[in-house]
Amino acid sequence: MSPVEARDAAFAEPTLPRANGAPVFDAPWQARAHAMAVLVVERTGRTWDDFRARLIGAVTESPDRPYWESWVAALDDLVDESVGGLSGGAVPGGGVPGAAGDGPGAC
Amino acid sequence: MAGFGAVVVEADEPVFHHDWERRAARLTMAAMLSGHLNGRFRHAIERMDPAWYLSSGYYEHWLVAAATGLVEAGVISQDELDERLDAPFPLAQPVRAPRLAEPGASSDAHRFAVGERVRVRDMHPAGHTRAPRYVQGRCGSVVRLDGVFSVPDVEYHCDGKRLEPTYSVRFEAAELWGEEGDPVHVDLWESYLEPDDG
Amino acid sequence: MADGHHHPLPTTAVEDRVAALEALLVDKGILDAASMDAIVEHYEHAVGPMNGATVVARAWADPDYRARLLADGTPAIAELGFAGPEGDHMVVVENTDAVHNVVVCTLCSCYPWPVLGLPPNWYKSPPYRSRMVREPRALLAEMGCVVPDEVEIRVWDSSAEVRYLVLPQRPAGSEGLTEEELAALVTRDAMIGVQRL
Repeated sequence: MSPVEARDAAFAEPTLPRANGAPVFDAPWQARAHAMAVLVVERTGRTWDDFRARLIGAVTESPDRPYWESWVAALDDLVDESVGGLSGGAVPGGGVPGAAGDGPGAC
Repeated sequence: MAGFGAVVVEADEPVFHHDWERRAARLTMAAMLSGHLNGRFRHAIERMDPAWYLSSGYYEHWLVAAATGLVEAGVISQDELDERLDAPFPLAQPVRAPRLAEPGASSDAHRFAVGERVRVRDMHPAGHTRAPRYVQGRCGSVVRLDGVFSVPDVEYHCDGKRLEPTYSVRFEAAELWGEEGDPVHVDLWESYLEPDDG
Repeated sequence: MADGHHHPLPTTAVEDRVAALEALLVDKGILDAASMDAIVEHYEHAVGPMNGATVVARAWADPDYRARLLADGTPAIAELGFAGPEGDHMVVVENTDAVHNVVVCTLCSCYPWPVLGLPPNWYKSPPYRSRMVREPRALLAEMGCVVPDEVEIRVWDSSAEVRYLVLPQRPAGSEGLTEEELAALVTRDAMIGVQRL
């Protein structure tokens, strides 16, 4: 599974509460999104400051969208730039298997 | 909870004082990420035997709540825990409140406005509530309108969720404690409140 | 509950109970120790009060940012790259010559993780949680924070989903400092409200 598919699987939340049709993201989603970001950072050999810089960039680019959309965009950036995909281990958020050795451009 | 004496501050304290605390945090985060805990976690801490709760630290509360929540979710069993420990594995007390068949209607339009006087209902719940006891029955003014969120009183006892607006309400010390002092602001769900008709 | 029985107070050491649950969760595939180590380390080292200090310093240096921060904390904090669990609904409360703010969670120990990291023991303790709403002025003084009589203390009990950050007053004599130097002046305790800078 590619990093992007792993991310999408972790973000998939069939029981997502909604108000007025817009998702009200609750704590379990946030926790999974955050854990995903931490693991992507760790396994791509980047630093948290790299992710943070991308988050800043994404928020600056679109200041009116919810921060979680910028978060996903920042994570996408980081994943796209990673060479060699994610290494080893399970990714939290429903037993999604790791994506070892998918190679560059797997997403 | 009142009259607890001095607040002890440790300078430059580490996040984890012992390796077991770190491991308790680790397994709790894993349990949370598994999606099986959710509201059970916080409720379980509140269901700990009071003497045990007061005599144990934060990360032991996490350990108990993670174990209790996972047993209640059916992911692990009491027997499995007892077997691993080779001794009885203590958990929080069971949920006593009955399950709610229906969550009730959600709402996303604030009923009260900033400046309005409100009274907090006397909740007397069998189960969970996040209306602190010290404001129940007390009157205050709405100072801020906050977002729409799932009512914990419902979520922890029902398969469905009920979403409601929340508020920050300011209470004067004289109202809360019967003497002059500084105001306290408490964040409350709409169903905890009713108009203060004087 | 699946079982009808529950046990009273523990008779075993907490370390042993942690080890037992940990082993069980590893076997059930719920705990992947290596992955989770990365996450725990993140909260130990990468997330902490230095984040909040960056936010405060920016607010001191940039009046437009300060206005945005006070109007809606979450997106303004996200502008600086800080966001995540327990920080999704941030309200920033400013200290002024007339008002001193302090934060508590009487029901548990809710705390704004993305800007302050994990809470210190005293914040989670029963005495802090019960006394800060009951006698804030006296407790603050005991903790070394003397608030002048004419300044109102506003206690914020984070009993729902909002998480609070106190924006301390900029110390006198700090004009001309860079943002980095300003951030170095900001303490965790000032951002909870138990210290005045």
